[in-house]
Amino acid sequence: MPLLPPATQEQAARFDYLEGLRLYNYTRHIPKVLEQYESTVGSRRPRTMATAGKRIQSQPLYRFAASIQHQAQVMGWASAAESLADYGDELDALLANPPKKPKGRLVLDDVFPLPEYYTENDSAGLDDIHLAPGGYWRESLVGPIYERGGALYRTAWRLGYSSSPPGALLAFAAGAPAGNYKRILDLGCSFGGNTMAFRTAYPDAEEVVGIDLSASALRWAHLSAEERGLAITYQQGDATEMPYEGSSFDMVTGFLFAHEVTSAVLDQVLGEAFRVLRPGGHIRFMDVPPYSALEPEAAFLQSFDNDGNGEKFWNEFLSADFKAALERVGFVNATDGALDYGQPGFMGMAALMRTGEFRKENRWCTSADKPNG
Amino acid sequence: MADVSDKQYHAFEDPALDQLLGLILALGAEVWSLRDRLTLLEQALAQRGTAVSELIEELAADPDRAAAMVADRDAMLERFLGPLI
Repeated sequence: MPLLPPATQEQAARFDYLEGLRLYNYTRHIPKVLEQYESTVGSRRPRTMATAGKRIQSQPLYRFAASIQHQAQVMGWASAAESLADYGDELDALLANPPKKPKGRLVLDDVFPLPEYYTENDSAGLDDIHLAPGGYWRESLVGPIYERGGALYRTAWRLGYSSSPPGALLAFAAGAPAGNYKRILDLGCSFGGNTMAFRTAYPDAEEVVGIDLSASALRWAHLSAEERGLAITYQQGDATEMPYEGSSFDMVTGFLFAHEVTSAVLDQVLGEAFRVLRPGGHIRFMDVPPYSALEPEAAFLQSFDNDGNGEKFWNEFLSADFKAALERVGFVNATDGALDYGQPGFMGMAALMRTGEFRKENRWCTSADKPNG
Repeated sequence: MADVSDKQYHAFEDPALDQLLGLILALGAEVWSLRDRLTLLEQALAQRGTAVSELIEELAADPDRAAAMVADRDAMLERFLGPLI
């Protein structure tokens, strides 16, 4: 990753504290919440997420855990931004001056209109995505801030966001059916972690492209990829209306992207993905599992992020039938399931409120194909 | 009481509880940061040949010093708890 300014003792101690706070929540509070839930439901198990939620919300411990989860997130972004505040000029200069002889490309559009669902937020900024002030787009230093604050979210701030073990992403990328994937497109690529995994998994591909709305995120993605020597095209654009010819890609992907848009926008994106994929091409997404794949109590805990973590389309996506959405635009062979990528022995990657610990079923793959001919 | 927007996430029915917890969490961050720095200070002094950690334990065990600290402790408690009266 591009080098971030070092944290002072006070900042480092604050990050350590917040990481410990979050880990405590995952490893002590949530298991205890589930234990208390089990002891009260007995044989009359709630059948719906709502009834399970009522039981869980009656526990004071859950209220504390949810409040801590929310506040640790808010404090994490504030601490990350504060630790970089004195280096704003240097970081802006770094972002404005990418490598002179890049292996890949950065294609930005200064007058690009951002859609309203993406930019609107309430006065307190509490529905900014992930509660990061300015979401993904308003803050020019969103890349460095995620590098530090996102790593904190993964309870691995000393490793850095893009240096966190990429096992799940590589397994996801390499898990596509055997095929000749010459051109690969990553939708809503943000900082390019998934794009880089596909570039790595398919070294012989002619072009790997990441498209995203945020110029700031793409600048950081470009720097990160160049530093790794990965030839990737990062392009600013809207996945609902892409500047690519029909049938011009062999594979389309998206990672933790589908839950960040409304289902109406997602339908448009899938339609566009269908258009740009060649007949016989493959599409694969990795995201969090839908509520229907979870026990009612797990689904309720999973729903925390909708209100508690600025994920305003979370419930909408997790309640929907993603395979059916793919089939509606013409895809076939739609399948889904947990990604099997072994046990990387790493805590942070997918520790959500739901599980309170690292579990591979936190990564849910949905894939399909464009019919031949 | 501070005005808490309805839009603001709160896990408790009374948002003041979330605010209070937030205050404690922020205080925890300060306490941890100070403990971390104090430990570093002791380690730094030890590296320079001043075994300050052992000296601290010796001083803490001195009953005269403990008695002298009582007034300080009471003054701090007064600052903490006095406003409730």
